[in-house]
Amino acid sequence: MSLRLFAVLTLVAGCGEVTLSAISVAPPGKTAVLDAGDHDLTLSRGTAFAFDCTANEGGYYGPCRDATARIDDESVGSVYASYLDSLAPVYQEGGAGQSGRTAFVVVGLQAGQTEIHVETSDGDAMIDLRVE
Amino acid sequence: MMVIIFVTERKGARALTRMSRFCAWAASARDVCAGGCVAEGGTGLAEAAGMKPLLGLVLLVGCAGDSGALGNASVSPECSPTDFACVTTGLDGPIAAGGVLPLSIDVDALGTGTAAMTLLSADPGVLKAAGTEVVGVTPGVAALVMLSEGRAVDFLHVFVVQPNRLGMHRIDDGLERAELVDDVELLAGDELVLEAEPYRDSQRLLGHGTTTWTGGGAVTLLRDGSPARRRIVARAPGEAQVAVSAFGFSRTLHITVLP
Repeated sequence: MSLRLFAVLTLVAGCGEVTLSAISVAPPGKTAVLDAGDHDLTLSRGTAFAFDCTANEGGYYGPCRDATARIDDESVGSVYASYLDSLAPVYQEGGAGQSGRTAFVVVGLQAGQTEIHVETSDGDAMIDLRVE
Repeated sequence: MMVIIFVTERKGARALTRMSRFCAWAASARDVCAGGCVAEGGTGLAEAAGMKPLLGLVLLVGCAGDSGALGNASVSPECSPTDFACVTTGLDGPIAAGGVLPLSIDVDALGTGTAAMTLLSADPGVLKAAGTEVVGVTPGVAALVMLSEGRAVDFLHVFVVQPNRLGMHRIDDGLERAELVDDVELLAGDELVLEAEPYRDSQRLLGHGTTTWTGGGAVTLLRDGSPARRRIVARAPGEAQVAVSAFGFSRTLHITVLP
């Protein structure tokens, strides 16, 4: 295997991407902003925020599979697996279908900063949570 | 959710008028669930219920409730299904600081009934959750997260504000009239059900606090199953003052009983 081919295969293999998208908004006067690029989440204390997780990895595109989330500092916030009453499109190895969405709810408990780790079989993501 | 009201002939015409008014109101009310207002004969149902339906009417309406942020659940005050005034209220205002509000949570997800829910307040300093009741603590906003089987099924942001006055409402056959802002005249033998509600200026707040009622003279105050309500019975011609205190405020209603 040439070095160039190895580099391309490595890049392709590393293309696995987990996308986090907001699916709720803050109440009037409060903040709930998720930077989808940097995965920075700013949340007002006492508010909750929901996001869903989509994977694009190794020929699979659709809701994140086998997803869990945990938070480092449980005094700053809490994170829960959620449930959505809707389906999302799935494309896998040329086939197309639908699957239940993967979502989480983050609750801002008190001012501070911590990290949320979203782990899936399609890749992981880390959210920097700032509760203000 | 449906509300079924049986109307007897004696009150039929009056109730029909009220019902048509309610239907007109419901059609424009944001929070009344889809389904609108349908009236149809229900004599058989009324008979089955052991009532005496000279004129039976069934009024089917959606009840008011606020949807959670994820659209999985709707939240409304816990009410008797025949307490029309309560059923149609929904969470249409902030909760009064110091007010207690029992909630009813309905899961709206297709193909799923309502599971046992645990409520979590994101800020217990603003809003406390105990069982399926919430208590307004201090002004602010807090997310009320509905948990079931370890998952956040839905959440709703709830505002708590400090009341600055009390309002008194008349409850009539399960329907609630606008706030009483003037004296009341009754005939001897008449009855009047009053309810005290916390207000912030002109905005009515949710929740009930410890309520104290006083009155006498021409009327008698009777408990009506709810701390915030009293049944006022006009006993004899004369004057009476009915006073209610809650949330640190008081309100007095002057009643004249005519012969």
